[in-house]
Amino acid sequence: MNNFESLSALREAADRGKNVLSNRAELRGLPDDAEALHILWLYPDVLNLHGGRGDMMALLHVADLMELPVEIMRIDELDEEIPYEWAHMICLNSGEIKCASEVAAAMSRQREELDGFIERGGVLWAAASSGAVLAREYTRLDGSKAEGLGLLDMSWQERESVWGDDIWFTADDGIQVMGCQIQVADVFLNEGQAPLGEIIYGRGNCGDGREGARSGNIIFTNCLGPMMVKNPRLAEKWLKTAAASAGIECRRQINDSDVEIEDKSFELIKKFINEKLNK
Amino acid sequence: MSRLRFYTALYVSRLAAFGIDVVAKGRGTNLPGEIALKIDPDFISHIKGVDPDRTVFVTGTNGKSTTTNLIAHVLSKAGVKTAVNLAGANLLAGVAVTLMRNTEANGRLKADLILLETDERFLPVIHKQLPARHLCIANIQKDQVQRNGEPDIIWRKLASVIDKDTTLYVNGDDPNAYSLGRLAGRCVSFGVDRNASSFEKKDDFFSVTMPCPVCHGPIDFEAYNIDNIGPFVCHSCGFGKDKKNDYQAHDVDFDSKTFTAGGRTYEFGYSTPYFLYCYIAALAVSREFGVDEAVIGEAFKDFVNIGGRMEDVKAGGRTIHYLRMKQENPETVQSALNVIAADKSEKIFMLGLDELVDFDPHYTNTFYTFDCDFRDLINSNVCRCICFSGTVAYDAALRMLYDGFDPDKLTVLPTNDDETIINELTKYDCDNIYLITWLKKYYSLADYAKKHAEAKEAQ
Repeated sequence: MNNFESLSALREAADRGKNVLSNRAELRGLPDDAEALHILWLYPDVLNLHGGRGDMMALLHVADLMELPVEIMRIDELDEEIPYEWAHMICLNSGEIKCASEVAAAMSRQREELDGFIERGGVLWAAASSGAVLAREYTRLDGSKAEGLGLLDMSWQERESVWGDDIWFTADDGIQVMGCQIQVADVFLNEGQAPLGEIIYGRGNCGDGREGARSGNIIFTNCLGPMMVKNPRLAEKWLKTAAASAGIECRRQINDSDVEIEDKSFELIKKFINEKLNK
Repeated sequence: MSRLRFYTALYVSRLAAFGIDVVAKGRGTNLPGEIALKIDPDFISHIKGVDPDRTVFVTGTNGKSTTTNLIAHVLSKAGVKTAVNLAGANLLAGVAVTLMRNTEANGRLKADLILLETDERFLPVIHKQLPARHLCIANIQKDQVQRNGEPDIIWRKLASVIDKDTTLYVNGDDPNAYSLGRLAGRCVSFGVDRNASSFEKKDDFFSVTMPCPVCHGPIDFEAYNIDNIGPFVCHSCGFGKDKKNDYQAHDVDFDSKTFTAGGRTYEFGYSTPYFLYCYIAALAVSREFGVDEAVIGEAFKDFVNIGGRMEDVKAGGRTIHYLRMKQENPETVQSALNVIAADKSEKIFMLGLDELVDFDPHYTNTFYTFDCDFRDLINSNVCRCICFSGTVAYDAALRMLYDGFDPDKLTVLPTNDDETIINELTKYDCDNIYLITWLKKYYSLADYAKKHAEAKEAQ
């Protein structure tokens, strides 16, 4: 079975007051001058839905498996300065849509630094409702419109009713991803905007067979799970991408025995979905 | 014409209810109402003698059934003739049945007060026909995300029925519920002091709270009495600062099962923390309707809840302690985990998450378990954890591993077969067994265990 000892040890030792968690002490044989990958976890109390914190645990766990030193920094307050220059990856978990405008406003206060982060090839990803933050604009049920950061050329329309189901898709780099989606809004990609992947099963953005959006290393997905927990190969891929942008070497690749349980979960749910399709 | 339709609906539904009562008493909680509403879609609003000022809705995510039952018990002791849906049929049809059963042949209500548990999602629909002026909100939490999406969707639905004529009884320790108070003509808040079962999460790097319902900044909980409920403040806008609940449970003592409120000591029979909020909510509503404190105290003493959250089942000569949880509802899972974690003796922990089948399409959500913390449970001397499910057994196992459970003590059974699950227990000596699963699976396992025990005895 998977070895989660390192993650547990880190959690036990973590000093929440410091707002930074590093796995450096748990990685054996790491050169003293090895640079760590810096991950910014934005507003976890505000974007608190659907077990999203599990994604951060998974990034730490997968980084351990990759023998990749990482530091995760929480930014809790909306008026706190965001250290864009420090970051190599920025994560936005799913949150209530009412919070999207505050999050977008907080992130755009240092717009030049955010643009610099993107130009450096940093990975910025948002899950589910937080896609509204990255979108060009989003529309609420009452017809009111608000601007997102405009980093992805897509619009986001709140739905009359929620749609919840499994989602299974092929990401743009060929990795099959399994999870759930809780769709409070339909997402429409404008012409030229690439999706993150193609749907195998599920609704995706708006039932058009496309899932999420991706421009360079700016990524939106509807997938929950937590997605990184259920799909460690995707977590590895995104960590590698962020590491490459920072010139950080990954010492190890995860192998099948590292993710045996996740693979078994995938197969079991695949069977369940196929049964649904055959009904 | 409309009166004719109403009387037809009344008599046909009464006939249907009578028929169901003869065949299967207690089962006619919805069908007669559906019939009544089919004949007269405005059936509820056509009942004579309904006074919105004497109508109370109890709603929210968790605890509405228990709170409703408690209030009904108090009112019964106080001699108030109450129309109440104790069976928990809390949608429009269930409400129609409750009122139909409390209506005279002339179409006039024969109760002094209407007390209804109402589904939070359907509250606006029910309120349209029955505009209650008293609304008790137990809490607004993450639940049934497949239809509710996020708590704010429920918040908006509740807000849509609150106005200056509303008296709101609201959980003052739940930021979402408490924030509705500003919309009401009158707000009566209730809460519970920090107590022996309260907990903190501040030592965990991965702990998260919730957004402030006013400014959307992070809420800071001084402590949690139950998950995401406890003394709180928003440091960004000051929401919750200097808040003083109108009814507050002080000096909570789980050994003697007592708390004090307004200088009086009350006994409570159910000692899990979540029940405290039901008691204090019932106290608030009952007092506001003029029930004497002594009567309330007596009622609390002998209250028996319908369908508890904890039950025992015998299996192979051993007792399995079952703790009920609602899938997609982190609070009920966390409450169950906390109860198990409080028992420090050696134990087997059985975790039966499953695919969600409440609505179509069925799906395999387990992400809500990442809103819970399993570490106290894991550190409470679990000698074996058995994760079972035909679809999500491995996801449940992952959840345990992510919070540090020893993989050598973990068994994954990717099946829903009762025999396989119960037989797995025979491999281990430990007699202290806890089970968390959804109600239908519990009934199935309990049924199998019972039949298995009977067959063994007969041999």
